[in-house]
Amino acid sequence: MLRLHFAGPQGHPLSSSLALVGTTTTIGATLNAIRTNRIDALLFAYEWAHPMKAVRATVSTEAFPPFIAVHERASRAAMVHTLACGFDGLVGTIDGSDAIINKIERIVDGTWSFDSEPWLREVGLSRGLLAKELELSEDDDEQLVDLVGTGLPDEDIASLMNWSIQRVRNRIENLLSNNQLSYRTQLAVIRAASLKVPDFS
Amino acid sequence: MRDDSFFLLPEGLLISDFVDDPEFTEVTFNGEVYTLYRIVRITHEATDHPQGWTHMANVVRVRAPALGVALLRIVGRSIEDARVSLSGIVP
Repeated sequence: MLRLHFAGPQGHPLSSSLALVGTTTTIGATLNAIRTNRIDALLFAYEWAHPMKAVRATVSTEAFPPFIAVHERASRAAMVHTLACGFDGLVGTIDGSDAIINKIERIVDGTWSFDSEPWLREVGLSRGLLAKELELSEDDDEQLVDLVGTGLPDEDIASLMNWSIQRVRNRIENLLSNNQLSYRTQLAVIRAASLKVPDFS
Repeated sequence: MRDDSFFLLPEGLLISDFVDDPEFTEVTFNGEVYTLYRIVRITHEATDHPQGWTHMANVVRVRAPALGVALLRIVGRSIEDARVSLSGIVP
């Protein structure tokens, strides 16, 4: 039987037929559970996707179990977001215990991954895009991505930085290229998503 | 690209006679895609162009090299807008 751990702010929403070896309601306790217990898969509340990215980055140099998000409904939008965050899978509570257990087993034994979904491959989204740390090379790159991340257009950024519009665009192009990004919005979203979430545990 | 607003410039002119930085970025796909180009030579100047373009130039794409022609709007030695038509891919 798989050793499953659930992490989420309000306990687990899963049926009792899904035997869990532990449940944690804070990020710190979850990190500790991963490090000290043998776990086959870490299930977590979908709303915790953002802090769980930080948890995964923290344990990235160690062996860690598959990270599987739990949402009420495993919709396509939720699948895309989960993939972009770099996790290993998503299950929907509405699908019922048998389907959930089956999918978790397939994720753990490697017979299911996001690559198994043809429609997801067509989107062309790279796994873990939202978990990237931006590579900033110039001193004022951080200011520039902060302004992009707040949703300002190039013209307003030029005015605020006292740069020409040509310089703003060249610098944004350089940031996109250095970080292997295709779209300006990706830069803004990654910057917004990289802001650190404090753990109040 | 035939347009009566454009006039051929003498070959002896330098890029630095028009702009401070020969590299500029074309923004396409609703402001999402940024592509960097470098001016090779500014070939034409426009007067009262209906779309506001001021110059035409031969350009190269900096990453994934390619050749093209760019319509430019140069204001105060800075390129404020550009539209590039690629004419060939560099092998």
